Amino acid sequence: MKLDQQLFENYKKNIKREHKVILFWQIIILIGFFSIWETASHLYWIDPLLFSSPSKIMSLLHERFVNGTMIGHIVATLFETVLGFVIGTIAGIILATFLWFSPRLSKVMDPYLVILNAMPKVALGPIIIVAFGPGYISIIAMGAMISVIITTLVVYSSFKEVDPNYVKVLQSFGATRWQCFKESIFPATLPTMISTLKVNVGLSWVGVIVGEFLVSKRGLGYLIVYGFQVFDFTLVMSSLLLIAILAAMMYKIVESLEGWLMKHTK
Amino acid sequence: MGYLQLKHVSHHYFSSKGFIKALENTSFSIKEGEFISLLGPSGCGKSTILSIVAGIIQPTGGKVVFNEQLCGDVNVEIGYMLQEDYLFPWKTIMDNILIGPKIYRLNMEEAKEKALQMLKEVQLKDVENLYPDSLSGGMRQRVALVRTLITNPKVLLLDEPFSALDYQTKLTLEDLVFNLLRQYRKTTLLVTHDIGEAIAMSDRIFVMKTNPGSIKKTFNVPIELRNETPFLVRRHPKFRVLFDQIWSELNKYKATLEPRKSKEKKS
Repeated sequence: MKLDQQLFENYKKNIKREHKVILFWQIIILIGFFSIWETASHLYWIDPLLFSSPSKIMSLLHERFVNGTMIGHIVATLFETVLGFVIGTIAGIILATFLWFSPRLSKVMDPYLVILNAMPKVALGPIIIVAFGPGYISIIAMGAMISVIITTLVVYSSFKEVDPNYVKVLQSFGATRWQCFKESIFPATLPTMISTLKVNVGLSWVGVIVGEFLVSKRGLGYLIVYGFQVFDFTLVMSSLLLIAILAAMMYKIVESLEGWLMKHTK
Repeated sequence: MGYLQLKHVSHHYFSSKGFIKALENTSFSIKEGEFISLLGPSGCGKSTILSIVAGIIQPTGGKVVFNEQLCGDVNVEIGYMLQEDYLFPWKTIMDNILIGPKIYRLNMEEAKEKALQMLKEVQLKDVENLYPDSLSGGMRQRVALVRTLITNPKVLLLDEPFSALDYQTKLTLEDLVFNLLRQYRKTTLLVTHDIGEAIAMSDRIFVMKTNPGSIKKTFNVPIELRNETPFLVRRHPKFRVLFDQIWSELNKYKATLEPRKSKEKKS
């Protein structure tokens, strides 16, 4: 008995140690990256005008946060990304539902969906801007469009993979097609839909940043283009750093949402 | 007159490569409260018959008559149980059971009460708020039985409901289902591979052949066996006699099938 407990304690200790080692190396890489960057820039191994340096970025960010010229850009980009992501995902699921309800429609649409999916969506940017005007609506449309077709395809194929016997159970009670959808198809594919969320977060960032490159007067994508034009690469690097942090945070939020939903829907 | 009748029912399954005649000119008549088993090799159209009676597929020929009315004109209340329980894993046991009443738009409060009482009848207690994955195979199949019976179906269709269970659970459940159906006087069609199970539970047994599927012979189960519970039937001396008869009947079709197959291989 005592020995068993001892072995278990050792096992737990080993796992804890492993976690610590991994965390240690992760921090080392982070610190190493920034200190090498700083040193390289300081000693002119790389051109500080082009590649900036962490200290310059920090002071720029500090200055802009204090005088309030950064927060507006962050809010604009976040707003566009979240909205694009939500619209793209929901529209994709609704389209997939239509396809499921009418197998004929899905067969008719099949080649068009393939083309739309293969098409690089950002190439449609100029057309979207002409259609929706040079404002945030165009940018949201970009963020949504980039994820809607792939969501449709993935969700529709998972609708089709649901075990037909679940539907059979409902049909034996005389359920309508809508009832079959509501009671079996939709809840059975919820895990797939949630996992498309994670993919769509990344895609929406791409759409929104490209959209801001093209038209915007605000947002982090705009700051990157503006910084590039006025040759202020510290601004470009700062914006990139912010995008990296925000995108990672959003991904983590969606991931914990996924965990929560999985727990509550089984 | 029969309660449930199949009149010259045929069914074809079509695909781009051709078609399979799953069922050919099949007719039978079942009395109210009767327990019928469909016995035969795989691919003899047993499950197709159930799907047709349930109205899930339309036969390509013939008709199904229920209580003198054509099926399709009337919506026959059917209870359908499959090989596996197919409980919805995202619903609690109670919500799983209430799916039928929900679709029928019955009074949910009454249905809930009835569900609790029926769970007790199948010897399940305090499970209504659990999810299916915390129940064993036998328990889940009991829940599926309650889900099937709660809407009080006129005809019960059982598609090998015990085949996925271990032998001990299977025997226990056979007795339970038998007693429950006897008590509610349900008209039942059971599809099975298991000769013993068919004899133990039914009043009549339809032996089917394959290619195309049709009913070959009907066996009446002796009255002494019908009144015993399935477990005791298996020990009855007459059980063995009937078992051997059905066994040799089933082997006949095998014997006529196999030489043809080997010939095809050679050519």
